[in-house]
Amino acid sequence: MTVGVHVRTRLGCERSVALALGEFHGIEPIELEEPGTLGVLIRDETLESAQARLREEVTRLENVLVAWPIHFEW
Amino acid sequence: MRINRRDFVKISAATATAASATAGTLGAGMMARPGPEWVKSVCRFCGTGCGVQLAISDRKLVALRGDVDHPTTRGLVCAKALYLPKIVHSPTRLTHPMIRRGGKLERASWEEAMSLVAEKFADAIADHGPDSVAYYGSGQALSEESYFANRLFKGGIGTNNVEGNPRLCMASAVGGYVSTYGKDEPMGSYDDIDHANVFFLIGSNAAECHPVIFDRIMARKQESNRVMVICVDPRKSPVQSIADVYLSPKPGYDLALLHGMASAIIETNRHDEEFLAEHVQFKKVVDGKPVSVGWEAYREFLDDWTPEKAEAVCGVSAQGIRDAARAFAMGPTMSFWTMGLNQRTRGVWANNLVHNLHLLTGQIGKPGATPFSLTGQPNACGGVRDTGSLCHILPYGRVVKNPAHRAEMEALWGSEEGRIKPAPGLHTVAMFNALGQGDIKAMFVLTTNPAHSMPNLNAHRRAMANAPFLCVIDAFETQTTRLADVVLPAAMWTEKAGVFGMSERRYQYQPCVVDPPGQARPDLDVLIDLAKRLEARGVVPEGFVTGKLEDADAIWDEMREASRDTAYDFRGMTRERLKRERGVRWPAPTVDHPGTARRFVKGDDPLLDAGPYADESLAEGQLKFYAASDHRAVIWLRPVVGPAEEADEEYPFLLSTGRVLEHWHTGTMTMAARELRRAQPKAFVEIHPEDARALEVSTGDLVHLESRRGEASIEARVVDMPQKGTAFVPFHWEHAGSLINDVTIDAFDAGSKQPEFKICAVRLSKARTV
Ligand code: SF4
Repeated sequence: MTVGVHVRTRLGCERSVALALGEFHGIEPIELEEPGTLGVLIRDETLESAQARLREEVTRLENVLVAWPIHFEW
Repeated sequence: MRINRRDFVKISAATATAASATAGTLGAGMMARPGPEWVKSVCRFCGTGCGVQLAISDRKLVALRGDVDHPTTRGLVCAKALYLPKIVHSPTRLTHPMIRRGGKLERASWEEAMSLVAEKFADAIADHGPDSVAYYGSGQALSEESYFANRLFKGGIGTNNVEGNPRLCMASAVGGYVSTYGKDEPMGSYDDIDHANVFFLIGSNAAECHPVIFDRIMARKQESNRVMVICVDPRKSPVQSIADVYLSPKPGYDLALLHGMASAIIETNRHDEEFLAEHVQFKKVVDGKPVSVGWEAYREFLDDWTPEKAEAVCGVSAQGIRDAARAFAMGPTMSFWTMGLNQRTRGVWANNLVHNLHLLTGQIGKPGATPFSLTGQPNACGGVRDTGSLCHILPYGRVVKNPAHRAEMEALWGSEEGRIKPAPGLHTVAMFNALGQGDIKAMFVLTTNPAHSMPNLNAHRRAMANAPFLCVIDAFETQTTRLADVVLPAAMWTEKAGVFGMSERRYQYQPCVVDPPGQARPDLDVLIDLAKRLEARGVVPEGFVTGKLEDADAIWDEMREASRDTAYDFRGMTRERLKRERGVRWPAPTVDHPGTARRFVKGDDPLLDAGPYADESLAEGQLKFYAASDHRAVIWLRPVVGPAEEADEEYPFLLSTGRVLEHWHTGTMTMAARELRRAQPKAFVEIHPEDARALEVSTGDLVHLESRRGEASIEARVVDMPQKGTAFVPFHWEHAGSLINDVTIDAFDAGSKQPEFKICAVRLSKARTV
């Protein structure tokens, strides 16, 4: 199960957030052109667990302002 | 490698479909992998109106993603939208009609159910007249559905008892727009977000209720350190976390704060004299009638509302009021508000006072400068407000009181002269009161759940339970279907085709791409069926529907025609065009007109170029409030009056209700997705830490809330979010004892008739530990 997530970070913090996210198993940050944003792929067993990781791991990270899932496949 | 948002969405899709996705190697190869065919559509939830793309296989939804080509939401969606496919295909959907027999709902055929509905309506009308029946609709119905129901009841049956749940969420915003500018709906659009330097969010938890708009505001804030966010809300919602100025007025007294800001603006000469002279008039109400006054009268009126005097009433420091006023006047300023202003007994006045600030400073009609009311439902704007599907209005800015407006609609609808009544019908609270008193004999409820969402619910639920005849059409079982005499299973969202009109006047087409479950049918089919049966019984004139308006396409064409020569003119939005494009913003009078980002502005608004509002004397970029009397918008001198109920010794707390990110309205849809249900599984009451100490309550304790009308027992969350002396409860859950609307008040705004969900007096006590 993969959920694509759009993450908004504090400006200039994209790289540090990407590095921190890269530490989590099954979470893959992707640099985006738009400043202050990152793409993130969360892979987990179920949609529910992926959503929980989005809530618990991604959005709680320092310098992450907000994160929205933007793609999901059944 | 840095990529853009579009490619990221493609990569997400490719990763999800790739069997080897867990290997985690991403790159151009993956982007080229073939995937399913995607169809554009619109989210079913809030008025943000996010563009989505759907992948379909065997008439089932298999994937959903944000539509990166959507001009306003640009590929973003929130968690609720992602679960829509799961909700649509939920096993808990209603699949067959039911009739109550011997107190129990039993399975029935469509023929049995529809002939019973037609018989009950026809009998009520024959025995008690057309005003003995009523329609209660929804800002979630498609535009064609609301328009058709309105047409059937007002122009066919001859009753103005046509209401809908937008009365509970948007009516005060309508009252604010109409009383200030002469016509409803925002003049600006989401485009303005990219030009604003100041965002004034008042009574809006956009972070949870309109998250994609909130994201766009944040994106703008990231672009420049000149961009400021002012947040006005008694409760520290997540919006406050990005605010540069946070003001927390005493609940119900933001009117004083807004006057205080106006006073501070004038005190520092930040008002726009030229704009005021050219575009504004001043009014106040004397003996129940609006009276024109002048600029001097307004200035004198504001002498009573210096920031210091405002502070004494609303509890926000004079300095905070001055800071907000200074920023607001600097601009370009875009205001956003929603239920915090609307769901109030002074909702229209609160709306007026936000417009006052824009008019006073000339922060209007320019890029980034506009007042903008956010909408909670996907089609409260296009479906109910614009089609005139409330008891006092008719389509596209017409009102039932105006004989010319009635005549125009009678002619278009083919109703005989005088069919449309000149007096408004029953507004929502009055309609359910009439149901309780037995004056309404038959009621049709469509795609909404009033037995959960009405305020002072005990009384109104009793009315529904004891109603002579209640028919409910919905996609799921709800509190309301449980009380109905006939329940009809509805097709939902992508199981039917039609138009949604979201907050920025954008009408978007939603295609039918999957089949409804069981025997469920689109609401429009059911309404047409009912109309034909009433025609056959002689209740509705022959030919009113049959052979004339038998499908959504024909109805849409009539709607476009109804908009001719009105301020809404969308004749250029043909069905074909809407199928192709990602929505169009009205006015769009011709098929080649691109739609209007900014109303009332020459060069943007096509109605200033041709038609009844045309004005050749205007230069490009010049503003004209063409729908307002004397073409001047109104600054209103409104008194400051508190809420219907204040805290007192007996009920010492003030309760406010609201929403959370994962759920939507009464949870009818979001509770059908296990993941959303588990993410926010039960109701909670937020209590300030100091109050919690005094009450000896900790997070997780069960708290008993009691008002003069009812009670609920809900788990506590002790957080520094509500003000001391207040409590906050989201209203989505229906499990035993947690229906917070048993507690809320049905006092309503005298102008908009919108109830005061945001403020009522309660007492709190610890019940028992969960
Ligand atoms: S913000 Fe509103 S319209 Fe957009 S995806 Fe979320 S619920 Fe749907």
